[in-house]
Amino acid sequence: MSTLSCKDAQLKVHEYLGDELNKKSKQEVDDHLANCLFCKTTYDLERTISDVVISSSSNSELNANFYSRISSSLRSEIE
Amino acid sequence: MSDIINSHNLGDAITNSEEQERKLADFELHVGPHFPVIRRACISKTGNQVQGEDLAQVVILRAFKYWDTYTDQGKGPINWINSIIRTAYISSGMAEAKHQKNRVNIKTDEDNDFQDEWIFDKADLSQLGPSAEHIVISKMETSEIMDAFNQIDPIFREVALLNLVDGLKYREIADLLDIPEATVGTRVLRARGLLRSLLLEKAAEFGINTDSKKKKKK
Repeated sequence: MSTLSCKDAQLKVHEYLGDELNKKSKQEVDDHLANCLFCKTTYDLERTISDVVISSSSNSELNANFYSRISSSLRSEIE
Repeated sequence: MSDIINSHNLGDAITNSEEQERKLADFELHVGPHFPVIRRACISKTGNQVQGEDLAQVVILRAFKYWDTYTDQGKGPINWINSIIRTAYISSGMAEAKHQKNRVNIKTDEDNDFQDEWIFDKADLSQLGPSAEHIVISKMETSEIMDAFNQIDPIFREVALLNLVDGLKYREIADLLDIPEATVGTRVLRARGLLRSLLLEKAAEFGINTDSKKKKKK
């Protein structure tokens, strides 16, 4: 039997995804998601968003420009 | 005689150059993997991408300058770098400027109104197939995702990235940014809520009906 409300379960979803919950809280969210299609759908959406942000961030051109700049600066320090 | 001296000087120069190359290689090996964290921490601290990247550059160059003084105490260089970030941030004057700005334009992390935006109503999803939105979002281009993410205030965005992409725990982010752990959670929640809203708006362009969410946001 799930002890969490949908509101509480959704507020904990990001902590759940970030592995921030203790064992008891994680189990409560697991139980809720197993019994609530609505919150499971929300969880799936959040997990998808996490996945696309992680993959998009690693391909970001802005980051590449920054690292190129750092690399040049470091090299000029030793030349 | 002068040839001998010149030869000796040249030898010193080559040795010194080799040492510098070795130092750089060692620095990049040990600190290079932390460059993304340094960059995000600095952007989050300054609340501005350009200033944050400038600060990150200062931090990395300073860390390289003093790399000879670093001693590994078993936890890697991140704590050492954290102290450099703190010092560089304060000495840059950005900390004071941000403090002054916040006094005028107060935007507290303790404002929890956004939590209402975070919660979905069941009615919001009733018109959708169970996975319609996340299928559409998963098919979005990288540029669309990053465009949406870049619309979010860097103070929130970079904390979420430190957690999501770099895998730092809330406690570690709190130490890095000198903010309470609860504030880290609040910022992650806020960034994710904003990103979700922006992506759902984009999903609407693919024909997914998100009218109920748009009404709610207003």
